[in-house]
Amino acid sequence: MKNKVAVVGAGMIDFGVLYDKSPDMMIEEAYINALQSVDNGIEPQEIQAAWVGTLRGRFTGVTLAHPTGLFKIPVSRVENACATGNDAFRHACFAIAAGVYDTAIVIGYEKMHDVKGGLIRLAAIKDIWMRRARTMPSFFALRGTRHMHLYGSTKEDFALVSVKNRHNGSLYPHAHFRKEVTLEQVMNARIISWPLGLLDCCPVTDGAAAVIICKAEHAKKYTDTPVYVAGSGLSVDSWMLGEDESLVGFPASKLASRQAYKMAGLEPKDIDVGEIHDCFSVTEILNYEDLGFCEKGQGHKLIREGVTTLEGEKPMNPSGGLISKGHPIGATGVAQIAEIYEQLRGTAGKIQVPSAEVGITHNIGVARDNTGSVSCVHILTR
Amino acid sequence: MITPPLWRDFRQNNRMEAYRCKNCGYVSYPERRRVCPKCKKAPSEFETITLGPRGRILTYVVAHTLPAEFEPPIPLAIVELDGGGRIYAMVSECEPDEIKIGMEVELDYREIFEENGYRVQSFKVKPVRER
Repeated sequence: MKNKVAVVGAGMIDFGVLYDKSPDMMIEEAYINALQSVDNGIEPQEIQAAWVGTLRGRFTGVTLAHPTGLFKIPVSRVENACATGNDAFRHACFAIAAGVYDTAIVIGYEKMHDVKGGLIRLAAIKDIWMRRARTMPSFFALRGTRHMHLYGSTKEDFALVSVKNRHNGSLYPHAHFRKEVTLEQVMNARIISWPLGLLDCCPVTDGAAAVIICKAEHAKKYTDTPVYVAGSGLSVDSWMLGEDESLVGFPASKLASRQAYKMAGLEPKDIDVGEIHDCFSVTEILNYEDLGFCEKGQGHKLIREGVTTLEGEKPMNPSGGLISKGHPIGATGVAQIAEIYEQLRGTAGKIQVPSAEVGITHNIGVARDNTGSVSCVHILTR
Repeated sequence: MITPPLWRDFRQNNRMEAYRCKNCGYVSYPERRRVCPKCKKAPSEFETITLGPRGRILTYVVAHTLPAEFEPPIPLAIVELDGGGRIYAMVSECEPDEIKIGMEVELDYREIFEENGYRVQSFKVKPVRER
């Protein structure tokens, strides 16, 4: 699949608490923004197939067709925990790379505020394997505690990720939170699941994002500066397999990224910029290790030394990541693709990483009674 | 929660019955009976074993923000049981700051919720103390 698919358009909406916008309105806006972003223009009739990523179970391909008018063509829905957005994109890439379609659109969205319950409520589900006070913050914090124990990282290291990402988010117009936080504020925030406090967690956010892709030979018809899909990978895992590594990181992230690096013929050192899954501050530190930016157990040193700040040598989450931007689950991965598309074209505005040529997107999600994980990774190049 | 799964999985959930793959030795707990997720032999043969009653804490958190049904702070651990098998378990009968990675714990049966008047019991863990 290497370099057979090009991204030629990307649109997002401003993420946030969007009580005044229905799911249809969010999808419609992301769709129009994506169409209008195509430098040389595109007609809706040119889109031959579509994929929609969302976690809302009763929704189908028709969810995308209604607000976009993309009826009659094939539209499929993809769901794969927090990796939904990147996985929806991956499905569309396969179809283009296989030569079945010339042009396709991927839209991810999630309306987090119209549903009751949420991820803290999961802890109370009346099921013998669920009812164990487990929440999403706990799933990730468990790895943080063991990381501190084995490698000497601290709660303050985790907090530095939030400080960095909230700074980046303050510069990014689409972010849910556009206000900086201090180290002291993060450290003193009320505890959600020790060692993680409120400001170590991503917010509950509504959002939608759309990207338009086409076969690489057609890319220049749409823009002089397309972005190519160099690599893609996906892996699922469970800590119940008994591997100690999965208690202090995510083998799924490691394997998904290795698949993507191999396809692209690139290495971790080649990555100039990344939008990686910081659902919680500690997750970003684990990602540094799992994605190969440092050895296992060294992730906290990258944040301490400022390697991953906007001005650092390997900027991660210039958008502010999930911690600032929010995590509307189906939209998250598609938004990452849109953001790396802008970075590699040099159109990322205040969060632009100078002369970025290779970017990575990454999701890590939780599945199956909080024991399993799923990760999806893409590598994009100019 | 409905009754059939409680009945179906009773030996796993309440007797700590687990299955050891005769091909690779992997201890599958809970839920696997024919396919080994470790060596991927399908079907493999499994022998039935009983886990616990003791184990060690591999990692833990202290959950402070929980639904109204809980009384936080509640320590939550991943525990490796004697004989193999890893579980999520709430840690009872101790203060959160007593907990350490590597600490020895034992299974402790408690009511974990009530459904239609039926008191569903399952395991928590508690520190092993001198008696």
